[in-house]
Amino acid sequence: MVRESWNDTELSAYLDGQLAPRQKARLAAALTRDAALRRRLDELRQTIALLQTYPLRETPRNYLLTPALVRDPQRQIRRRPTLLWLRMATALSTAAFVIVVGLQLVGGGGVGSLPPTAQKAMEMPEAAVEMPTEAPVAMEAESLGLEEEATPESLAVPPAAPTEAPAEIPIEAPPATEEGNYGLEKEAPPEATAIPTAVLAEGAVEETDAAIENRAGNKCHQPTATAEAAMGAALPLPGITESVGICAVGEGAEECNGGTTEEQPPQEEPAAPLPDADGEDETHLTAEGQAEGETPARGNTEWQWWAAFLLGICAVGLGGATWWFSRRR
Amino acid sequence: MTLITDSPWDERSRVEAAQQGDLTAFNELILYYQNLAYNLAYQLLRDPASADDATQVAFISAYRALGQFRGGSFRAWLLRIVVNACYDELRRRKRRPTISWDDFQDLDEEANPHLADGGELPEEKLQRAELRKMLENVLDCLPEDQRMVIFLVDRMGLSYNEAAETLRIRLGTVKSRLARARAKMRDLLQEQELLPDRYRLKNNV
Repeated sequence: MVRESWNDTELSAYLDGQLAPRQKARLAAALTRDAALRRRLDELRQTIALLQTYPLRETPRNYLLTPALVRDPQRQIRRRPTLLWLRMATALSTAAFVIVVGLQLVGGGGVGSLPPTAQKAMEMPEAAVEMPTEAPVAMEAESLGLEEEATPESLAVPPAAPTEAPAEIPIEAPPATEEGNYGLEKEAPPEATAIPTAVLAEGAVEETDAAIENRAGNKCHQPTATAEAAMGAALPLPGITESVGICAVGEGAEECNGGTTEEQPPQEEPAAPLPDADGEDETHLTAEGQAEGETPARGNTEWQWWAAFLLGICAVGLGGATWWFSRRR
Repeated sequence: MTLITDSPWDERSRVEAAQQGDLTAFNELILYYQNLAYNLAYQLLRDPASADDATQVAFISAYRALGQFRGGSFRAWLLRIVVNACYDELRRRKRRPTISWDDFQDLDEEANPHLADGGELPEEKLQRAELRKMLENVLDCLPEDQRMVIFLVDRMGLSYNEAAETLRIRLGTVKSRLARARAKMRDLLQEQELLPDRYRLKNNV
């Protein structure tokens, strides 16, 4: 009799009915013959029976699903893109707002962001420096234009005007050094003031002399006045230089007379405050200057502030919407 | 051999209703399988709280994935989701180690009297707790792959095919693992002198 060897896998499969019919018949026959094999099989059967009595743990709770429990994640998935876009938009608008405001506060230190008065203050020294070296011909047109508009009562010229006189004098007056002194030296001799009159008619010279005498009698010294005007002080004396300049252009003694006679009223009160007409004129000129040089920069600044304002509103609105959506989750 | 009661039970109709969005039908399936799912999770995780979380997650995942169920054994499909949830929990636990809830208290009926069967005598309850403790100690001596197979087949009553589908292993692998597990269990139980007499293996053949 041949002893068959049966391993635990075959015995286990035999217990579960997983053996093939032929193998199962052979094992059944072997079990009838082999007591040790039967004992092994019984031990396995008892092991399985013991495992089947293994007490299971009770569930700590029921796992019933509720509509909220099942639906909530789906709503989260649906909202996720909205929240993502909202957060991105909020971040972008906030960053744009910070950049625009930062550029205006830091990078906008240029002329465009400054107030008009500050711009004017910055431009003034440049004009004062450049004027003496500026080409006289180029300045002549401006001075003429001013003269055309200026009436005897409103001879006041903006502070930059006095610098035009020295530039204009060299055209008609050959002694350049004296003319230069006329504009620059405060202690210019009286002859220097008479230089323009050298080219005038005799009557005009007499008138001029009389005018000088009048000025002397009024303790209003022309050299001092012109020096002050050359220094850029806001005095009516620049009006004198304008009229003198016009005479120097050579338009005739009568005009020159008129010019000298027109000079006097401002010279009589050099330190007096500007008359109303002068003030209006100055204001008008200042407004023109702003309209020409400052309006674009000012408009640009306003536009930047409006953009910053709108971006700030966008950032706040988007932030609120993001908070609201997050809270709804 | 099966844990599940033999009351009239039309699983297929409930599964179909749940696939149509009937949450009540799916909850009936949950009530039917929750004990099975929780104990399987406990066998894998060995921690009541983690098993509780994994079971809940598995049922939610199963409801969402009902459309992917193409027939066959719903029990094996559901337990496969439980196993996946347990593996996820194990991975999470590896990343963030936590102290087991068992170190403080037990969530079973001994620690939660309201969960215990009221008709059970105190002696029977004590004996049952003792037996479970012994068997758990023995099962803990088995490798995890063998423990899962023997638990699914011998305790939960799954067929070889269902066990293979649940654990995603071959049928031959189920057979070999089950045989090795049973043999090792037999040897361990024979060495267990503390096992109650009524549960000891008798070599009286």
